[in-house]
Amino acid sequence: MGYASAIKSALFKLILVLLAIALASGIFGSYASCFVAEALSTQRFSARPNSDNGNDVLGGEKTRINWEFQANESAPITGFTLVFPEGTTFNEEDASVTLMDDSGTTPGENDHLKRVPIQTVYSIDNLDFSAKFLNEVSADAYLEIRVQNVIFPQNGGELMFKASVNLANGDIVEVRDLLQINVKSFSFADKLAKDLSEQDWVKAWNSNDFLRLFFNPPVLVSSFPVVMQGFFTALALVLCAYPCAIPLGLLLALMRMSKLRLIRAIGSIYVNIIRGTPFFLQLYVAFFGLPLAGVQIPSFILGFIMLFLNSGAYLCEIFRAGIQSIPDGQTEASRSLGMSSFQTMFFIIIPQTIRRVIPTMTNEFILLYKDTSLLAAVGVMEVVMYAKTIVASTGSITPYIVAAFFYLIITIPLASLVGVLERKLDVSKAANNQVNVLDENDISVNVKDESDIDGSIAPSIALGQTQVTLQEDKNLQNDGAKNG
Amino acid sequence: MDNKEVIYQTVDLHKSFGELNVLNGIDLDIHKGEVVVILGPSGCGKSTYLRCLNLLENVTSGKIYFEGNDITSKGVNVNKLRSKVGMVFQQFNLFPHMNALKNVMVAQQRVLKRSKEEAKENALRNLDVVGMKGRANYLPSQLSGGQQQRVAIARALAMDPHVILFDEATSALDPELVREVLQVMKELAQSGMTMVVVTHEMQFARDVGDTIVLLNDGKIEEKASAYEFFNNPKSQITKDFLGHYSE
Amino acid sequence: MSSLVNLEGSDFVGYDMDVMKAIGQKLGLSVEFKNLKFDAIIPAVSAGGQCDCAISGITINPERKEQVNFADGYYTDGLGFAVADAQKYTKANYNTELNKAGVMIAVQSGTTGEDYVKENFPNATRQAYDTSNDCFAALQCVAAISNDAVVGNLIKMSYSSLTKIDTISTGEEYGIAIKKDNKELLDAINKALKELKDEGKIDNIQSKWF
Repeated sequence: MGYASAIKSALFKLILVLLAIALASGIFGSYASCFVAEALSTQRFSARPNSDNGNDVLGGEKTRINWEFQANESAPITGFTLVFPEGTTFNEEDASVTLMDDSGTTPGENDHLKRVPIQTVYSIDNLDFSAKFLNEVSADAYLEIRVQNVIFPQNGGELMFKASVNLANGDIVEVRDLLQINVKSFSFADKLAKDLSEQDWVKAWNSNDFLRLFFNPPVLVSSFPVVMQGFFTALALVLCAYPCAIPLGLLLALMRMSKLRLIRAIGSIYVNIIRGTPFFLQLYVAFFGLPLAGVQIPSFILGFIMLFLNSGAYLCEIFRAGIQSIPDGQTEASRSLGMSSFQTMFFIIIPQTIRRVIPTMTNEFILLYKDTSLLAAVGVMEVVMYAKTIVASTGSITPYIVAAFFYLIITIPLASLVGVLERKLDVSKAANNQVNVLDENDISVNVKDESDIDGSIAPSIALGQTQVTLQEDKNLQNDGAKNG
Repeated sequence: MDNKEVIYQTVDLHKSFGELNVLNGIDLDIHKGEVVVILGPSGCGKSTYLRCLNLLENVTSGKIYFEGNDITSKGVNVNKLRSKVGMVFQQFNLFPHMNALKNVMVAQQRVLKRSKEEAKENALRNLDVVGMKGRANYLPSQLSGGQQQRVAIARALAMDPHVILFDEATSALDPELVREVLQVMKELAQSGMTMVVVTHEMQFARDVGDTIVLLNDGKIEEKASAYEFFNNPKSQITKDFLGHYSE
Repeated sequence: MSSLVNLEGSDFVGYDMDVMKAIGQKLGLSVEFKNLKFDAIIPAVSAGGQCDCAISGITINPERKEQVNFADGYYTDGLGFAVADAQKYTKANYNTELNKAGVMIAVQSGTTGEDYVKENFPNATRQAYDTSNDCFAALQCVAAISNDAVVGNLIKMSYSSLTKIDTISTGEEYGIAIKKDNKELLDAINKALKELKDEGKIDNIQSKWF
């Protein structure tokens, strides 16, 4: 059996070689070069991505190239020359040649897990990177060659390497495998970051540990566009989830105030569970639990759903408090006009509630936007996720500062809007006192044009005022119920 | 009066809030075009009685008939009843997010299903009746208490009610604003509107009221024509009550 | 959990812990451990104050070298490749089959595994998670890559539905991170490490854990 298979494989190899010769001789005149084309076969040829995020190999930035090949069994290799693409800089520092040998853990198969460093002497001549092995390498070696500190030209492109190997018999053989690396051109931000890092003031700035760690100018610049991608994701998530959460919150609020116990109970249980557990845990259950149950939902969609469900519960309580703060007199007046409870709710109570809870709702929006950061833990690519990825690989905290910027850009304007709304309530309290003493002949009160008659939106200046009078109203009404 | 059509008939009406008995058997007929003024010390149940009339309170026992129909029985269309019974509150209860005109229009559109144009025309006419047409575009917050109450009366009127209930309509007003509201109510009475008025304004009761009812401890202590009531009270409690006010 | 750092009761145990304790012994110092999230470790060392050095399967790479100094490597990492569908993805085809648009590969954020996927599977979508456990829990990914010993352990303990299809030696080394200006500690640790390696103690610790 063994004999037969040996013949078989020998025959097979012979055919292969003949085929290769036939093929190669057609293309190349030289017999030697076509034979040695088989001196090795490249398994992997790549460069380490060096952009702040993504898989890109950038020009103008340090990278490391990695070349793994399986040597041909008939020709032991004693060295090689790698010709780098035009415009590339590199040095022999930290370059390495490693024999990937069989660790012996998997019987019958070479797993290439045992790493044996090969002592090597390097020499550099312009673009030629030559190496001469001091150790003997077996004929069927699987070698890994690494060159650190390689900087490709800034313009990038599909860069081609050339290589040749020195064989034990003295031949120098060209490697015909495609040794190509796609290098992306240096982006504007990366270029700016690089320029910055060479400035004297930046070096002085970075000599302070705190400033370097938190406000490293080059990292600030290069991580900005990356983290911004997450900003758009987070914004899209919250802009989808929040408007959907408003009707959900309203529905839950109405459920919680329903006369039917079952409906009330369903609403209460939902709201209490969502509000009573950390959002983080809810995300874990959804993102890791649902796939186990066979439900596969893309992470953006699932993130949206979770934000929507979460915010709905919080908005419910905001609406409920808002609805309950509307004095009973409003309901009584509406009902005494013959309006149904549904009409009363939708034309009288809810419009007033919305006006009253706008500041709190804005705060909830801010909270929800900040909560998108929790999605980082379950793999949604939002602001913190991008920042974290850079932090984890570079060890600089600066990307988190960039992330903070993308939160503040939303939260500060909204917070000041809440401030304006709240101040308006105060102002209108003062204005109310004045209005109350207005004489009938006093026409200084602004008269709105006809079009406003049909508009059901009253200016927000009326907000606080009504709140005050109606609040008194409620107290009196309660007294009245007891006394009357 | 007795020969006129009865709008409200109350038979042995009881109302209690838990342990507290507020109404202890009220029997009262209210006729079309009649102005019934209900007086009484605070806590006597007069507001509660008024609120029972349009079912803002559920009665504990007894019957209320509105235009011959028992409105305390089950399955009564409460909204339909209320659309025929106007109510004016002590605290006005205008809708703060709507201007005066909208306040008067909304129930016309939503309950009576009147078109916007019709509702608006009717609203402006009724605002004119209470002297508030010029302020139709004002928000409640931009109006004085008296003006708000007049808008509230217009709001009730716009529904073409068969009867209007006034629940201490002037009690929350500053003294100088009371007169304008009473004037409107007086004009309304003179136009033949059926009115049930809970008030502390003795002068108004004397001038405008057809029938005066004194409630005490949830019962009718005395019921008489305005003249009889003020000039020849029968009950000692009535005399004390009037004496208290004449001081 | 990983074999590098484990929580046993309230004590941290594992390969990293043992290496560090051995170094401490050599230097005549007692070692006090402090637990931080992975992405907070380098900043913590770099800022100083919180800790003198860090050991947590931190791969030595040029970006990190700009922030901190690394002692000589104490362990060379192997990566394990696990897939949910071992029929579809095999050792023979995964290098091309997984390097396709729409394929999701789970990685632990900031690890060699993530770098390896970046370099060798640029067309696939990387999903980064905080811990290697989360990578495996996230079944929406078709493949997960992590430290070889960790992959084996996780499959054995909790994720029997996954299959390890390949082990890769990246040759990238784990190093102890030390604050840039603390040259004395760097030299001391390097000296201790060399002695431990020469005495075969590092090998002993390795065979205990892997």
